[in-house]
Amino acid sequence: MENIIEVKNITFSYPESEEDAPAEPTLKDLSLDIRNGEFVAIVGPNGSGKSTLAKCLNALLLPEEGKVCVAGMDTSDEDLIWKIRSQVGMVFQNPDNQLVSSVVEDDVAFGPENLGVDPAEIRRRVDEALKAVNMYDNRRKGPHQLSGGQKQRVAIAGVLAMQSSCMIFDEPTAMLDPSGRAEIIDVICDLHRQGKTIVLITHFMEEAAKADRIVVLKDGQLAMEGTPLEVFAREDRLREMKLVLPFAIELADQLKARGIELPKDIVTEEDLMAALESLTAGRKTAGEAVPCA
Amino acid sequence: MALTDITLGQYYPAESPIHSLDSRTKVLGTFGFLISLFIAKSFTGLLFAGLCLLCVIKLSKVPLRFVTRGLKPVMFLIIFTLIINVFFSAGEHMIWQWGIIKMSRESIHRGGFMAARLVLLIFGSSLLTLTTKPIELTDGLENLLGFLKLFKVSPHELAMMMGIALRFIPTLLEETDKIMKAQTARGANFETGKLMDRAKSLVPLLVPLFVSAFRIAADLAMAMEARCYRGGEGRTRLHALKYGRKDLTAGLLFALYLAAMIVMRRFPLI
Repeated sequence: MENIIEVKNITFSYPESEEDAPAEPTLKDLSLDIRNGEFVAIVGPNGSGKSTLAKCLNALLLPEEGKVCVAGMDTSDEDLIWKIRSQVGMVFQNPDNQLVSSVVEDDVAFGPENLGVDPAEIRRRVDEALKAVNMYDNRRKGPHQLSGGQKQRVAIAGVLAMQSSCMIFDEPTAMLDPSGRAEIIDVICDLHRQGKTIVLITHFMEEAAKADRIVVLKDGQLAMEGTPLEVFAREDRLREMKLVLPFAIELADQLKARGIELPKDIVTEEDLMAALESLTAGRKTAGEAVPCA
Repeated sequence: MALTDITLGQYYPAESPIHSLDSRTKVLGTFGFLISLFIAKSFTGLLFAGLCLLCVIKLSKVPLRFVTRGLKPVMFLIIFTLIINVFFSAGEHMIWQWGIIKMSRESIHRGGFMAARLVLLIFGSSLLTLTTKPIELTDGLENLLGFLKLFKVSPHELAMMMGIALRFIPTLLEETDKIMKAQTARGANFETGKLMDRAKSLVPLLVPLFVSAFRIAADLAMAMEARCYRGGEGRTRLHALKYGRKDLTAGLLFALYLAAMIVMRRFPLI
């Protein structure tokens, strides 16, 4: 598989404020490849440089050293900036502060309008994008009439309408309630199934567990990398960084410790539920009672 | 008081020939109507203008009470105009006089005329905002103000700013509500006290509101850049403005109206 984004040894520091001593760079000599169609979750404690890295991926920030290439285009090339940003869309944390227009469909149209797309084609893309996130019926409403989850879905539709092949989500669920969070994660998983490359920055390990690959950042450097199974197996390292395991894995571990046989590859709640169901089904046919731990 | 349940602008949603006109036609029409009111020299003209406006209001399906609502905030101004003109202006046929306060047939006529013109001015301009969405209005203005480019002012940027201001009114109101509650919880008092005290109590409300407005602006700028915004150059629009048949009809009708107004200026009946 081809790499859509290549990050090569980048270093980045924010301009230091006067009273602070020369600050540590936010990103230090960081390298990362993201393959086409991949779903990568980036996790890490506060201040580990997750958001900064995300902003480097579509030229919102430029690294001081090293370089970032998107589909072969160097982000430091000013002539390519708009091409790069139309390739790599971004959804931000605050659902209120990223919607531009007071009508939902006009907001979704904002991206394609900026790209100079023909009005008839904009109409088609807007309708398609709104249907994809299940917001078509709300297309004439104002953002202030929508819930946080709905606003975030509109923001996603806005990126979809630009037809970017890669989407970066910068903690899209941090300000949502549990039901809004579930909505957004469902949409993200859907998009991944449809072939979009997804980069999800998150605080929630349950969300990261759905990814193909998890990248753990610490102090601006790559601390760990691997499939969810591999990363969650290193519980001690995660705890060191104040990251907690997803609930399903913790529960599975506790069950195993109490002598219940479960498969090793449990990562998400769905995995755990399936495993427990097959276990009880097996027990029932064998005529045994299910032991209570 | 729930600050968050306000409706934006005073747009009255309906399906009518007036609603479906191009916003530029409506802006130009309103502007022309306001000028025509100053062409009129007599009650005949104003009466004719008023009747025409009434027809347009009927056509727009906006209930009359929505249009008259616009009078409320300027009621004082209208009454003031009426009083000044009736009691303090000169005239030949005196009816009543007491010191400098005098009333004549001419002054009553003049006062009534001025007040009627003001009322029609208000009705005409409220009809524009009642039948045009704020967004369409900004789009129309962007287009009509195209000549500003000559003065190195970008009408696109003005319209974009206006659009964003409209978009963020509810957000900032929500923010104000939140800050007010937070400050009230810590003992701030916004409701009672002398005028000075109440003005002072606004400081702890305004400072955080400003800070949060700056934060929103920074976030929004970043989000707009991420969606490839780079000013008005090379931008297309989802709702492209297009003059249609209706706009031509409206334009012709307006021309007839204007001609009638000019004729009536020459031959006043009343």
